[in-house]
Amino acid sequence: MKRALKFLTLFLCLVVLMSAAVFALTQWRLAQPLASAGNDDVFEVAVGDTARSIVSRVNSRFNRDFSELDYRLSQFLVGVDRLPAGVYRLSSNDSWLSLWSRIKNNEEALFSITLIEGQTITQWMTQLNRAEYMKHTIDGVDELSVIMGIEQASAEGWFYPETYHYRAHETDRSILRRAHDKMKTIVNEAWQQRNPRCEVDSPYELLILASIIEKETGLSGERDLVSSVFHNRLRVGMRLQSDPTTIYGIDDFDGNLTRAHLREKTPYNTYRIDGLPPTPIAIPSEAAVRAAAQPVPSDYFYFVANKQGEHVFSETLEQHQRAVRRYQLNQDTE
Amino acid sequence: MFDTLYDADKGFDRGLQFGDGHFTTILFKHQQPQLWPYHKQRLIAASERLEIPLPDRLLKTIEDSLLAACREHVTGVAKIIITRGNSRQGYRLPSDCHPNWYLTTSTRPQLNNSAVKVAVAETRLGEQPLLAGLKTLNRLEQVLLHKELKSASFDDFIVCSSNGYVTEAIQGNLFWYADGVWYTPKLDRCGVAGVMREAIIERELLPALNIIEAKVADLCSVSSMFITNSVKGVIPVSQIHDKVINTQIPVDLKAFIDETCA
Repeated sequence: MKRALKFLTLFLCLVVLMSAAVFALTQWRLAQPLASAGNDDVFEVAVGDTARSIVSRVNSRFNRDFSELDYRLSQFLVGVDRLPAGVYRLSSNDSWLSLWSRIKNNEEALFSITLIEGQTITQWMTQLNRAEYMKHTIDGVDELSVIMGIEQASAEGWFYPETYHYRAHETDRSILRRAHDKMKTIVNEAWQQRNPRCEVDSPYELLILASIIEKETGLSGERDLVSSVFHNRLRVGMRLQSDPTTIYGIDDFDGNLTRAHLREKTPYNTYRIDGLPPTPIAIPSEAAVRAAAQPVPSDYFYFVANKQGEHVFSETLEQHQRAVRRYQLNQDTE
Repeated sequence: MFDTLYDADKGFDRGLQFGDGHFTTILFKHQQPQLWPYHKQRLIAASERLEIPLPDRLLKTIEDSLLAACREHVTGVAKIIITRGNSRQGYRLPSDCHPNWYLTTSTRPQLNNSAVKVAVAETRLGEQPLLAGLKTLNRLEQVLLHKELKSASFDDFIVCSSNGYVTEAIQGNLFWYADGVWYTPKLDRCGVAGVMREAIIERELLPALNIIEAKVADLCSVSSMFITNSVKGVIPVSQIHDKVINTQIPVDLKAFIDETCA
C-alpha cells in the first residue's frame, strides 16, 4: 500500500514535469525568430482567413516546415480564432508569439505618403492612385470639389502638403479630407491675421496668391518680398506677369515657355489678364499662405532669378531690365 | 420559427428565399392612399418586368384591402409586397405561379422635413439594367449604405453607381438645380424610380427638367438639391459636405407636396 502510494506520487511528479517540459518547449518554439534573415514585409489577414492558412502562408514565405505543428502549438498556447483582418508588418525577427500578439491586438502596419507643395492636385491624384494599400474611391480630379464640399468648382490648391500616415485600405478620400480640413484652417487663420498691405479680397484669393508665391520662390527668406511685389502690383492695378500662372494655363506644357505662350489669352495668362487667375495654380505650403497674407512693406514691382536661384528685386522697369540683362542674358522672357 | 412560413407541399416564400418580389410603400391620410394611381402603376410595371402574374382580379383584391386598411387607421403608412409565391428549393420558376401578396400598415413616422446634410457615399450601387428602376425585395445595398451612414456625420448620401453615375439618395430620388436647369438622374443602370419622382416628372412640376446621366463632377455647380420620397415628400439638402446650398423648393412643387404629403 505504502509502495503503491510512493509509486503514484512519483508518477504524478513525472507527469507534472513532463507537462512543464512540453509547455516550455512549445513556448520556446513559438518564441523563436521565424527566420535567421530576410526582408521586412507586410502580409494581409483578410476577413475570414483562418489561423491555419496564415501559418502556412507565413511559413512558406520563410521556407519553414512543420506548419501543422506551428498551428497546433499556436492554437494550444495562444488561442488563435477570430483574428482581426488587417495588414500587418512581418519581419524575420518576428516569432509566432510576437506575430500573434500583433494580429490579436490589431496592431496594423502604418503606411505613409508624402504629398508635397508646389505640385498640382492632378499630380497628387496620380501619386495617390499609385499608393500601396490605399483604397481608391475617387474617379477623377473633377469630382473632388463635390466630394470635399469645396465652394469653387476647382479643388486646386485646397489641400495641405504633408506626410500622411494611413492603415491599409484607408481611402484616398480620407487622406484628402484631412489635407483639405487642415488647409482650410490654415487659410482662414492667415486671412484673419492678414496685414493692411494685403490687397486680396477673400480667403480664396489669398489661396490663389499663395500658390503663385509658392511657384515663384522656394526660398523662405524671399517669400514675403515676392508677396510684396504681387500686392504692390494688385494695389496699383498692374498685371502680375507671372510665368508659372501662364504655364498652368497651357495644355501639355513641354517645359519651354515661348513668346507665343505669353501672347496667348488664357484665363491663367497674367500677362494678358488683369488681377489674379481664376483658381490656384498649385498646392501652396503653409509658409506661402502666411506670406500671401503678410507682405512686407516694399516698393518692389519686379524680380528676376539670379544664377544662384535667388531673386533680384527692382523698383523700376529700368532697374529690372538691367537685372534681366545681367542674369538672364540668354532667355527670351523674365 | 420556419414552421409558420414553411409549407411541406409548397416550400416557402421566394420573396424571403431569393428576394423574388417587389414592393411599394404608400402614405395614406384622411383615410385615402396618396398617389395611389402611381403606386398601382408601379406594382403593375414591376410585376411585368419580373414576369410575376398580377391579374386584374388580384390587383382589385389588393386595392380593396388597402382601402379598407386606410379606413381603419386614418393616417399611416401601408406597404404592399408582391412575391412570386412559394417554392421548395432552387431558383427554377414554378410552372404554375401563385404570387403571394402582403399588406402591412404602420403609423406614419414623425414628419421632419428640415434640410439635411449629404455627402457622396463611398458605397456604390451595382449596375443591373434588368432591374434598374424597380423596387425589388433586394435592398441589401441600402442596408450597406446605412452602415456607412452610421459612422458618418451626415443625414443622407448622394449614391453613385459602380461606374460613377449619380443615381439616388439612400431612400429617395435626387433632383438638383445647376446653372439655371433642373436635373434628375436617368435610372436605366440601377436605382429605384420612386413614385414621387414619377409624379414630379409626369406632372411637369419642375420646368424643363432634364433626365440625365450625370457624374459626380457634374454636381460642382449645384445651387440647390432635394430628395424625394413618397412618404416624406420633399427633403431639401442644405449642405453637400461643407458646401452650403439653397434650400428653397419651387412653389408648384411645394404646393403639390403640401397636398399629398403634409
